[in-house]
Amino acid sequence: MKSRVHDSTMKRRDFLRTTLWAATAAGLPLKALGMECQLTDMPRTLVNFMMQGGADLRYLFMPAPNHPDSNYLDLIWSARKSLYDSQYTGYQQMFDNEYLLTTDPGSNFQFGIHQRAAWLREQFELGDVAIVANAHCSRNRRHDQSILNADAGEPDLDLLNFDREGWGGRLVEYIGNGANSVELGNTVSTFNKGSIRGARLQNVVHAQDMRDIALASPDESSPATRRNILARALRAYYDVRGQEVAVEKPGNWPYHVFFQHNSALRDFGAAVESRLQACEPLPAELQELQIGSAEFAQQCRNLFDVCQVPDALNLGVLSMNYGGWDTHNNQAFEIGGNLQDIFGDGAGLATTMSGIRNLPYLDRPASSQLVFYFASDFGRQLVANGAAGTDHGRGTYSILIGEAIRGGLFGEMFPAREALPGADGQVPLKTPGADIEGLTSTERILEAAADWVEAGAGSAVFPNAALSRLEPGGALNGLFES
Amino acid sequence: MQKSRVTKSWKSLPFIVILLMLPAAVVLAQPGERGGDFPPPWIPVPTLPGGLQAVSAEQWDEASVRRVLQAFAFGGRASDMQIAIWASLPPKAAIGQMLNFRPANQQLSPAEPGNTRGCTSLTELQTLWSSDEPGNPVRVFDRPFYSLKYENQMQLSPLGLFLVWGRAMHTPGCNQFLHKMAFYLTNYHASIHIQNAGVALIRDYYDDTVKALTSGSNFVDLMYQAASNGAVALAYGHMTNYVDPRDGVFYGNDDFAREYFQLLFGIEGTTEDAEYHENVTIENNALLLTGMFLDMEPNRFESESRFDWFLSGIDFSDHVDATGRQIYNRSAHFDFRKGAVSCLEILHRQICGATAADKLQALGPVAAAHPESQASIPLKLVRFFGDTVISEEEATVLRAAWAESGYDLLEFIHAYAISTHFHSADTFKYWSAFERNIMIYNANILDGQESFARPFFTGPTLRMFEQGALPFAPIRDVFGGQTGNDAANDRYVFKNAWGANVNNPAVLGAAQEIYLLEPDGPPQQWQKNWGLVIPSNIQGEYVVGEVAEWLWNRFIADDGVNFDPIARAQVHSLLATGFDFAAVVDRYNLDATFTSAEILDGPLAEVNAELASVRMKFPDPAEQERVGMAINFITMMPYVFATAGGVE
Repeated sequence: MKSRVHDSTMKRRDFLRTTLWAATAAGLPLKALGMECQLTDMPRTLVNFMMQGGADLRYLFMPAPNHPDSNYLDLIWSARKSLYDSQYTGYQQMFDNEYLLTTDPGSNFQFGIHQRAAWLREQFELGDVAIVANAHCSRNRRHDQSILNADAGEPDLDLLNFDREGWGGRLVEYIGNGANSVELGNTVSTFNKGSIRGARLQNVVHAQDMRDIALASPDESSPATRRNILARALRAYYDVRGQEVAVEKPGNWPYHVFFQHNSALRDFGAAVESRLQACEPLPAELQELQIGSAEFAQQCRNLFDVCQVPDALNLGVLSMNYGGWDTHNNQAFEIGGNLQDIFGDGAGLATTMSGIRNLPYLDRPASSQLVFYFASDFGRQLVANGAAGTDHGRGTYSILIGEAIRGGLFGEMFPAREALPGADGQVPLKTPGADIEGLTSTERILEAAADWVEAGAGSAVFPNAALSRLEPGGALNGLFES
Repeated sequence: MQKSRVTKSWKSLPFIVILLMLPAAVVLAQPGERGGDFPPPWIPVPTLPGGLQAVSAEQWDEASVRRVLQAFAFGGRASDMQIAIWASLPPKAAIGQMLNFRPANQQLSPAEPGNTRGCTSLTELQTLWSSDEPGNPVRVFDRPFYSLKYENQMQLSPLGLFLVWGRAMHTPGCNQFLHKMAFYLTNYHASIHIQNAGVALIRDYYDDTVKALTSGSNFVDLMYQAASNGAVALAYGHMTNYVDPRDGVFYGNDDFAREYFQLLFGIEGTTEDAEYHENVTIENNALLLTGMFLDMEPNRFESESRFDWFLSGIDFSDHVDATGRQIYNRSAHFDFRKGAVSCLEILHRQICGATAADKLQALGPVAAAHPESQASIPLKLVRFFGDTVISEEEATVLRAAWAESGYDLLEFIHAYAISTHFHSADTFKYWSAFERNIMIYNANILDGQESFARPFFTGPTLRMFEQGALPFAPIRDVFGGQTGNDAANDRYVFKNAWGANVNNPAVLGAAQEIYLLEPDGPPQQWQKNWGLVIPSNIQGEYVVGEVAEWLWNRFIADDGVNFDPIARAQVHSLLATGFDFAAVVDRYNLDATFTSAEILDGPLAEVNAELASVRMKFPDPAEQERVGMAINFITMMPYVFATAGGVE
């Protein structure tokens, strides 16, 4: 659904210009018109959405019952039957109950998207979702190393060192002009960090709660309260001493970071909070969003607010996350809730994007400027384990969502090779331990995404992309609308 | 940082007192840990494992002792006198007294006799603190919050567990080093999450770990204790893994089979053939972890939830548990009919045993001796306790020390804690919100009465929670809780810590409390008296400048290195007047700020000196509150978020 403003014949920008002229002419203060919210357009912004734990996206996407390779269908059902209700008598019944039949508009290929991800399917059918099959962001099956690989944007990295930059940090450095990597979740990750050792948070804004982002400051009403005395003493200390140590102390002095926190929170905090107070309130449906993860609900609210004041944050790239994908046991229960929270009808992203589409804008609606890229540690094994779950694998699907996306399927969704004997004589769909073969490096995908943000950024941020793997026939040059 | 002459002379006072008391200190030293007089120059520097070098007697001082206490024991609760005694002992003798796994360590955390009850068991502490027993020191109002089952709920509540751990860490008599190690093992190293293990089992897991530490278990024993613990089996889900004895088919997952190596022993398989590691070692370990079903005890904790009835100790035999369930842990185990010669190839070795327990006993030493484990475990320990960044050269030395320590955690920690590596100038460690807040409370709470008189919601648990740190709910689940790096890099941790001190200064600054110890008993009164611990000068006076230095060193413990002129001016002002420095200088310009140079010279220097010379009147409650204001300021300094080494 597009916004009212977006659909109207008079754009908000024109309305504003007219109103401002009229107000000025009438000598009215702008505040009387409630016009303090400073409208600004969103820059093109990637949202790196990390699904921690290793999401089994083969559970999200399954072949349609009319899949042309019936042997494949038989084997995948046999391999993964234990993930579903044991009452299902066959694949068709399971599919009808669990999945929404979906058609790729480009190829007319049919497949299923899990019904708990109804909003995702709606977006796919609108042409706003690209699914890149057989992607890989790491080559190992270890959570910590793989998440580091994903955050760094380097699938081949085998050094477990978290004191390094992430691809979000590299991207904002390329964008320049002080652009920031904005984290909406509870923890700043490697993804956000910049390349300057000792100052990796220099271009990071941690927006864990956009409406509570300022340091407690003295209020003018009662200067003699203990609260205000302490607030003044601390502010006076940090502001002045911070300037002194910036000159006196070496760059690797461990306490610099806390002075940086003070200045970052002080610079951004008050400005962001006051700007937001003058802008749109949180929509009721977002304010009261009831989903399984309260933390993710807060991230959704933060995303809405970021779209109101991107300039105050000097927004360059965004980071969100949702944990709980390490589904070794009872996968259907765990993953179902996760999918519902993120992709469900009326759930996290659906509600948030609905709110964002209704935001006023100057030239470009914020909703058109966002592209979500979904990452996870790794994929999971093809054959279910004996605990109604799946164990760690490697290859997976990459998902991108946004109006700028040229939707469709990239790569072979359900590779025929998985149902055929491999070089070792084993049929992957019959072999515990076998996983989705990673044929397309996520560097390729992210290179295209970074180029969408700013031409030339792709090869700068992902210098190894050109030499990285790309599934034959899986060209990604049409991933974004031109 | 330049120190005033007044301060320097004042600082020497306790040193003189200690000199006079040294014979007593020697008598107090425990067998095998005696220090004696100042070490004569011919006493050689003690031999430490690997290439670690102990700091010299000259380098070992009160700052060194405080650095150790902060890093390894949440600051500890030792008196100034005790700290001075330890500083006077040879480091190796002192460290044995400071850091040990005894159930109670009176030197580290003194308590009135008999007041250490329950300190080795969170279950016992919760039971005591929520009761109306005469010996319960907890105020009546707080007791229900520590209850195993909150109010009238029919199942266990996590609230009491969260609160009891936070309180135990600053309770006089509890051994903070023992608990910090148990916390590391259960919340970072072999970490599980309360949402996966449940309240009863995760508490048992912690208590089991404390028990194992106090009974002298080495690292391999401790990892066996973790790997065979019911809490871990439930959290990872392998408690239901089994091999069908009829056809030998395995049913289960390989989650813990992988993490056993990676997390418990630091073996990622990077030095192994990848296919072998994945398809032989890990898959066979999944077969090993079969037959680990948990027993239940009916109505355990009087809970109606069967989930609370699970026991952490697994009985690996075929048996009937107390609820009448038939448990087939022996015959559900891999190849059980072969008994002791049922073997699996893991890490290129045949791991044999009739049950999962037997095989885990056999596998532990193999895993611990693996080169990846030898390389990883010492660095994990050091990163948690002592040093955020470890150079390659340091890593080599630490690995050698670990190899020579024979898996003796205490020997390794002792060696590292008195080493030149830990005390070197380039060592620094960011504190997690757990560490920082508990250290603040240990420094701020003066005695047992204060510890229990203050309401539970003014304790560290709420603050830690607001700053992203909740015990038994590690933010990375099996990969562990909030690290110092996490906390340092998180602006919200900083913001919320700032907000806690500014918006609620009474939490650290209250001067008195009225409370009940019996529902119908007389009201009790607690009053703060910093004069009990802050030394007066030779004239018996408490002078602001001297009190300021003492407070800084108690909370920051950097020997005043970072106590810069601006911080001094603010602390002096808060102590002398209760107001910030700007308000004292010009009450009509409260937003004024002053540079270090301005405070060191000219009219502001005179104001600062005047403030520093003010005599405080202890135990006047108003003066106590001013000390509280200074503490709120000091504990929001950058230097309370990290510690740096000392020896240049």
